[in-house]
Amino acid sequence: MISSDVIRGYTDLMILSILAKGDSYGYQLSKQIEAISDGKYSIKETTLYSAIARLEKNDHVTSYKGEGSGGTGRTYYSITLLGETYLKEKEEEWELTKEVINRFSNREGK
Amino acid sequence: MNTIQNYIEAMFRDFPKTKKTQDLKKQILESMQSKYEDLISQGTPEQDAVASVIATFGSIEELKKEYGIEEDERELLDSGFLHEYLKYRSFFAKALAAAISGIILATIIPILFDRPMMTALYLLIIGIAVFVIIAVTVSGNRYERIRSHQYALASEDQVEIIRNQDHFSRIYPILIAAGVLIIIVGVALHVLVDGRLELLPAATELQKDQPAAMLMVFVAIAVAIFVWASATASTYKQLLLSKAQDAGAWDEHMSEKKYGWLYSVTMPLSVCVFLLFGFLYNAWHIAWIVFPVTAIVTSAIVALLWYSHKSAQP
Repeated sequence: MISSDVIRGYTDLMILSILAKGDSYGYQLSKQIEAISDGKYSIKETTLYSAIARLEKNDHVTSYKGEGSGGTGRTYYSITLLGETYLKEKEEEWELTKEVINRFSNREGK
Repeated sequence: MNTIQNYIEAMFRDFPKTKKTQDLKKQILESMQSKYEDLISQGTPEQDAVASVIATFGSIEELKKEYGIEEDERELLDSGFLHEYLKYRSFFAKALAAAISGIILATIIPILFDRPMMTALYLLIIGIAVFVIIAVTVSGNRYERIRSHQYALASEDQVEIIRNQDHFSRIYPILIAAGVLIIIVGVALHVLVDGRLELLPAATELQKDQPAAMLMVFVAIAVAIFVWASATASTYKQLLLSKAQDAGAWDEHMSEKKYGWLYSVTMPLSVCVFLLFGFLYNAWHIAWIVFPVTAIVTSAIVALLWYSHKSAQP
């Protein structure tokens, strides 16, 4: 299991990358995150929903009421154009971060 | 299943009851319920499923930050101290109910017997009851910090109290209805028996007083139920009181903190009025009315004072 402190800066990227492939709702998002990470990371409810609140506030995602299983309206999220731009930025940022950290990690082996 | 719901309720105590937070709560609850159902369908035992779903909740502080809710900086209440307080409150409710209905029940003595010895016994019982009331009230002073909300409840304790309150709120209306019914039956029987006795010229003085004594028994039982039920209900209500969620109840709490001392003046006064009416006019069967009336009038005065105090402030 990965420490959530390290990953916190990139929950936005995870959520947006899933939404870029199609709209989703809370529980599905957390299942998708767990599936894509092969069970190595499972997101906490509060981490997921505070990320969603942040993304909504910054107009990176929008929400709408859709059909739920139990008859009550379920809240779906979809990525906005602004969100797609932000996702690209985050992806570039991650590539850069990865490259830089890799130069430090495993240095003894080189 | 209810445990998950109670847990969420407890976690969101400090959030205002807006549509936005209700929505958020509902979404998280649905998500956790789906997780729970998935686990159950995979054959996980119920207890384990609940525990692992609650473990995926995370930290409420994270959401508070995002939603701009001020972090609770109060010291966490020690669970042992809380349970000590709960034990005290349960004793307090019983003692208060016993003492107050004891006073009413003891009124049978001056109703039935007109001897100085008996009057002295009656006054002695009242003295003991008043002492009990003062003693249990004063012994609660060491929990003042809990009552004035200088502590925050740990989440597991909050869940437990919400669950207890849930259970109690189911029997509370039944208790109140039973108390009212007992009084109605008592008054009806009193009217019936009293009317019959009037027609009997041979009835002795002692027999004539019996209906009033019987009424006191009914009133004493009903009052014991009322006092115990409302003291128990207020224990939970007090502990779970949150400024963010129920502004009205918080206001009431503050008003009682400021003007609550009025009760300690009016209630003893009402005891004096009760004794005076009882002894001077032998009107025991009706004099007890002074207690509920005093309580209602005092709470109206407290509300009035609090209202004028608030409107005087800028």
